[in-house]
Amino acid sequence: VKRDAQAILLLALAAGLAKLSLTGTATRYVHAGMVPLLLLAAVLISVLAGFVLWRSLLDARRQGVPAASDMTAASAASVVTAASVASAASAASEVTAASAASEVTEASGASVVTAASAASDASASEGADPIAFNPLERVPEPSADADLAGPARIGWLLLVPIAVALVVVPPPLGADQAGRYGTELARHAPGGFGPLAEGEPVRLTLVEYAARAVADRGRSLAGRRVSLEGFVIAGTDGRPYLARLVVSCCAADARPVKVGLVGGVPAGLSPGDWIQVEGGYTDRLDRDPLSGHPIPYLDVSGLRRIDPPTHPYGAS
Amino acid sequence: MTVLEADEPPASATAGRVSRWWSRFASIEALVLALVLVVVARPWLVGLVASPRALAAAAVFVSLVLQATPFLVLGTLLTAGIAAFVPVPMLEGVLRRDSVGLVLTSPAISPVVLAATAVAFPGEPAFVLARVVAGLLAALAAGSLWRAAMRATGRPAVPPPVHARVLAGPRGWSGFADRSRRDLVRAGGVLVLGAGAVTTLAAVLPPRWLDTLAAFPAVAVVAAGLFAVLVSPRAETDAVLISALSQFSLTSRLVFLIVGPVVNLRRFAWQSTAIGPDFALRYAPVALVAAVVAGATMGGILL
Repeated sequence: VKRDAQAILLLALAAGLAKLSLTGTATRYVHAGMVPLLLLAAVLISVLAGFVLWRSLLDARRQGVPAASDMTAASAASVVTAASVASAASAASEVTAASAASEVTEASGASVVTAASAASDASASEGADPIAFNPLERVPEPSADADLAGPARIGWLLLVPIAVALVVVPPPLGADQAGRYGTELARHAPGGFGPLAEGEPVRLTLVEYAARAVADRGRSLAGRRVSLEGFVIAGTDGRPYLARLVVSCCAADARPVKVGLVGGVPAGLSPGDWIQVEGGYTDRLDRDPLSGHPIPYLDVSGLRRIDPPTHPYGAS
Repeated sequence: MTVLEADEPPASATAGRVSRWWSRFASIEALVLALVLVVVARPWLVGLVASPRALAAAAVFVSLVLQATPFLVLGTLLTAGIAAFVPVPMLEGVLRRDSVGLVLTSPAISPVVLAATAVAFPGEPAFVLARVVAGLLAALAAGSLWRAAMRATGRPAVPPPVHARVLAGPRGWSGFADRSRRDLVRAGGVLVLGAGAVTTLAAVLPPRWLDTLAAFPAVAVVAAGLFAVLVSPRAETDAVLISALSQFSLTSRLVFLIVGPVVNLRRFAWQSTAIGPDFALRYAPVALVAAVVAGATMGGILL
């Protein structure tokens, strides 16, 4: 990857970071607390890439090379700028993430074609020796980090996550991840439990309910009605479980906490549906075959479907 | 020094028509082509990952890259800033001192690395401390092993030629921009490779495989060390990558973080070409064992 191309690659990376953080899509993959850092990274990368492109324009002009390479760099830069502007605009108008992504991709696609034609013009006008037109490119550039010696071609791989994040826009992890791993209760169980808060029903996180039900044998839950939110997964012998994914670093380490549902559970729930359930403690326990940890139960008295929450994961 | 610095030999110098043809497409044109392809192939790409498992793997992959990128950016800018703005005599003073080990593993313990580690392992301050102590121990060991391997292979005991790389090259803002741009692009590519490897282990292969491996503490430690050698992550990103493999004990994940900066495939390849295969073969295995022992010991004491 040559200098200008590297700068444009970095601009694309910055645009991707900015888009994910501004549209709120980033919380599907990382903690909300990381979003300011992602924005900071996007700003730093764009400033760096902008500086590199600007200098390369100056260099080209100083060499007396006509605007051929300038045009490529400038129009390609405008591609990425257009993409970031589009993403910022779509964030403001609260378009859904998927359609916003496609808009951005198409917008950049359109200007990419401009860049491509500019590029082919450039090489056509240069004639026989396309690699000699910017001698600066061949100056060896020492790296500060010895073990990074080797071709910078590996940098092309950066296009893969950018494409996956902006084109595929993977949904938050959910039922599939929860079915793949066993419930991990022990990791999240705090020490002692005080009495529940006032109110009937009491709103609890699924993680807290499970911890109280297992560690305390439900003592602090006795005689109370609780309300929990989570998504449905297929449990053992066809009965549904309610689950929530808990994240400690980023979505990559998401592990489920599961609660079994008995009582007034309607038929027709399918894995991945987000629901809010009300009910009371029951002393029934399953053991998750995947992790060996216990799965407590809730005796359901009321249930309604809800929209998936903005922050899909619980914190440990 | 020439071996070290001519990372990108001009393609036209050695090859004929074929590489000339290729060189036309080796930069912006290829990048543009790739972007166009992504746009054109979008329906196909989306269809490819339509299954829930593939989408989950894609989310895991993106989350690893996203979580690691800010720290990678800050770390790269920090390193490039030191190389470009710290006065040369001061740099030279630090580098010429007998701190071979520290130079060998230099980016392993920086504020950015420690911040990334603390974020990747929330609620585990002892883990960050263990990384500092074991990292220093491994650096000291690597330094003396380096000198021993130099002597054993009949070379004058010179420090690693990192010096030349840090001290050479333009300084000031242009030097800073060049270094950080180049390091960021490369380290980004390496991060993508590492994230791909971890995604494969965590979200593609059956979880039972890793569970089985992680169930035996000694096996987990050795496996984590070898995985670090293969993946060769940057110190700013390794904590994020290994945090996803939560089946592994904290100690084995610490070993991964300690081994990575000391011994890895990229370093091994570089040592083989720049110094000699005999040296690399003598140094790397012993340094690997030393780093594994340092990590496992500190893990045993502190975690």
